[in-house]
Amino acid sequence: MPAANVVKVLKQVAMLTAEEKRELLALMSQPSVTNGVSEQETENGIATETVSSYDHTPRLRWLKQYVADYAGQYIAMDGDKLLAHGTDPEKVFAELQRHCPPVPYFGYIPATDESPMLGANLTL
Amino acid sequence: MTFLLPFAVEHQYNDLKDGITIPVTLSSGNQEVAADAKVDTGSAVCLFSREAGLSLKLDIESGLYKPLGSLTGSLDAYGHEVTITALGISVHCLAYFARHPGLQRNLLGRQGWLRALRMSLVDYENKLYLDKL
Repeated sequence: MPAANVVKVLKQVAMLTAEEKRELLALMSQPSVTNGVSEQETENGIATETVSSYDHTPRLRWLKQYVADYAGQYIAMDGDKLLAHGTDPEKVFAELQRHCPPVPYFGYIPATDESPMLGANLTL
Repeated sequence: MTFLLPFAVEHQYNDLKDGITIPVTLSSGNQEVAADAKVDTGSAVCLFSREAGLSLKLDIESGLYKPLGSLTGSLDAYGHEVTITALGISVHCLAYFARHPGLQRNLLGRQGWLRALRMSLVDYENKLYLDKL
C-alpha cells in the first residue's frame, strides 16, 4: 500500500471509538491467507495455527499443461513428476507405493466426454 | 438489510464443469498426502479415496464403518481422524475413506469441514472465500 494511503488509514483509525478499535484489533489478529499462502505473524506474537506447508503449485501447473493427455485416467505424482498413469487404479497406486514419495498424490482426471457430475448428496 | 462477513482466504478456482475443486493436504501422524477435492454442500461428510487413506498408512477397515447413501446407490466407507489442510486452513476432523479402490472424486462435505468454516462463493467469478470459525 502506498505510504500516503497508510497515513490516511492511520488517521481514520485514530478517529475510531474504543469499541471499533477492539473490533479492528480482533480482525487484524486473524491470519491473512490468499490462495493458500499464509501470512505468518511471528514478530508481534500473534500465533497462527500449524498448517501443512505442502506446496501444490508445481503439481497444479503440470496438470494445467497436461490434463488433456491423461483424461479418463488415474495419475500418481510426486510434486510435478508423473510417476504412473492408467485406467486401473490399483496398478497406478501400486506404482505410487513403489516410488514412496514424501507427499504422494493420487487422483483421477475426468474424461472430456464424461457427463457433468451431480452433487454427491452423501448421507449417513 | 446488508450482511458483512470477513474472510481470511480468497481462492480463484478453475472453471471446471465437474464442480468446485480445490487442492488439499491430508495428514495423520507424520504422514501427508496431496489430493484434490470437490467442495460439496450436499455431502454430509468428507470422503476420500482408499488410496489417500493407504498413503497415510491408515488401516482403512479399522475405522468407523458407515454405509453412505447417495443418489446413485450406496458406498461403504470408514471414518478416521485426520487433519485436512485446504487453502491454508487446517481442520482436524473425522473424514471417511472409501472401502473400494478407484474413487474418482474426493469430497469436502459438511461434517468435519464445512461446519468448521465460514464459506462464501461467487461462482460467476470462480471465487471461493473461506475462514475458520
